[in-house]
Amino acid sequence: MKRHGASLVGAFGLLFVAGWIGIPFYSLGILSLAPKDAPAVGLGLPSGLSLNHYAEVLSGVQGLWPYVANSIIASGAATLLALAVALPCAYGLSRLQRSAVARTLYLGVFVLRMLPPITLVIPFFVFMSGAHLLDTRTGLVGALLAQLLPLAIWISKTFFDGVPISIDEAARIDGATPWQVFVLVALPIVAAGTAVTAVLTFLTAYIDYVFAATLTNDHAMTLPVYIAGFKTEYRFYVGDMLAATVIGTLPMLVLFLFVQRHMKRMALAGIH
Amino acid sequence: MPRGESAERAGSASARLPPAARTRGRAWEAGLWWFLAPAALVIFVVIVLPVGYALSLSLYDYNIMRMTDRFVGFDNYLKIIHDADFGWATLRTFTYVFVVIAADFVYGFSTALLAWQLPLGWSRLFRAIVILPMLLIPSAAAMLWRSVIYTPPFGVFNQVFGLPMSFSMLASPDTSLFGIILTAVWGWSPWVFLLLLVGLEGLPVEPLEAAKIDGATFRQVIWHIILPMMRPVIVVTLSLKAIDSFLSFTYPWVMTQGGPGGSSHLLSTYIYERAFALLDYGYGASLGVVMMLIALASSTAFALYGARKGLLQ
Repeated sequence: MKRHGASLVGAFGLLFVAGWIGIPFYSLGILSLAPKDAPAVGLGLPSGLSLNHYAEVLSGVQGLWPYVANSIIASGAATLLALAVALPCAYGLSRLQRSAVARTLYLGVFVLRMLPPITLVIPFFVFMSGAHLLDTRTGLVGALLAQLLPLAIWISKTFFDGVPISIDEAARIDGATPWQVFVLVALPIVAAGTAVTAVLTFLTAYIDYVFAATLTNDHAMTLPVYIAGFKTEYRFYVGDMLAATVIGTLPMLVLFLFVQRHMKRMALAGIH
Repeated sequence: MPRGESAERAGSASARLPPAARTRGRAWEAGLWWFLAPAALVIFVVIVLPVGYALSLSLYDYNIMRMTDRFVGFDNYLKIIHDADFGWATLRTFTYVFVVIAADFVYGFSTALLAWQLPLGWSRLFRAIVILPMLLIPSAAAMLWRSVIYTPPFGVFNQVFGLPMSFSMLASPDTSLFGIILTAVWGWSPWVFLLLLVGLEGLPVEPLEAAKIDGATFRQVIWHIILPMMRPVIVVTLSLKAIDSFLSFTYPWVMTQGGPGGSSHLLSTYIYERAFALLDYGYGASLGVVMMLIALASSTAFALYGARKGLLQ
């Protein structure tokens, strides 16, 4: 009897989720595939299907390739730089846990993650306009680092915490220096965790809007800013914008599938 | 001696080492501090210096539009006290945070329970569908809702709820903020879903089985067993989510730029407009400093609370 009631609520829930997720995604798919001159349809079916909008953003004059390239290069460079300094730092913080100073520094890293990007972007903009760094990938990478570094330290530390300290001690007694233990012992053990950290850091940079929208406007503009820049008040741009949205999702989909298995570990460690 | 050495190697706790080795251990540990140096240097350059620069900008009347650039001390901060729009934006931001995390929790927890209860194959499919919105670039999700869901001639939202096409959620001052909230919940609640689902799957089986044998209803199990056991996961998830929402910029800015008539300005969009649309960098910087203080105060409180309760390792 009570199972029955629960399954009724469950069925209602499934129906709700189907509409809540399904309708926006249906509109996204169908309008990106509608012919250019089709009448506006929201929920209805268009007069036919075409790949015009995809052709337009993939090969048109205002195509998305330069912005995809900027997104990948800037996010990739910022991720590599962030990891290069975050990994040793996370290892150090993980191994110095007995020190109150180190524990406080770690909480400091957590607090840094909460700095409003809007507070940072104003000084970045004023400084970069003076230093001729506006609309350059270099400038964007520097600004992104401010957001990525605390995140990368935070995530990778949880993986180092999973390596038993006895392994370090064994290597130490064999005469290994801290640096050797880090590179030859700890890093190989957390290789999978480092890949997860890299993916999450990259995705954070890839979806960034506030830094890229402020600090770039053409040469170094990234995909999220490009997509938000379509003049959708003209109806025929809507399909183009949606086609770019679908294409921009693909890298996220691939990377997300890759880290999905590790969600559990990260969630239990109290991170996102 | 060789036997002693091998015994030393076998023991892992440093307490069992001879004094000389323990001193070596301490020197070894001191070497670890150098591992923090590169990160400290980069944090200094990309975070500490910019914050310092923001503090210094906030003491200047630096406005490109009016072509001013002079030291004014704390005038900008005095101006904030009398800035009613800033007050409203602050109030609106707290409303936004509260409504978003409440909705995220209700939706995230219900869907997580569903995914948890469904048979395995269906659960996988359900999970994949629920997390879909998270895979869109946020600025693109905001564009989708702005230009297709809410806005005629497409007006999907109007069609579903039978509203006239003359109405647009984002174009009316009464509903613009609600429109943004709905999109923000749509876009990022899957993250709450994922973390709560992981929490559910990590629950020990015995208490649940015992309750079932004792004849507890599903609702009783949720209230009296699942929710109390999930408390740490829920507190961490919603606190991080609250801070994220407090800083939220992409959805409100891409969807309405704070409009119409400032009706949907949050702190971040209001500050952005002052600095980058009105080119008032000095005043914008001082607003940014105030927002930073609010964010830091709340996240420090959370970090200390979390450290005390052992929620953050």
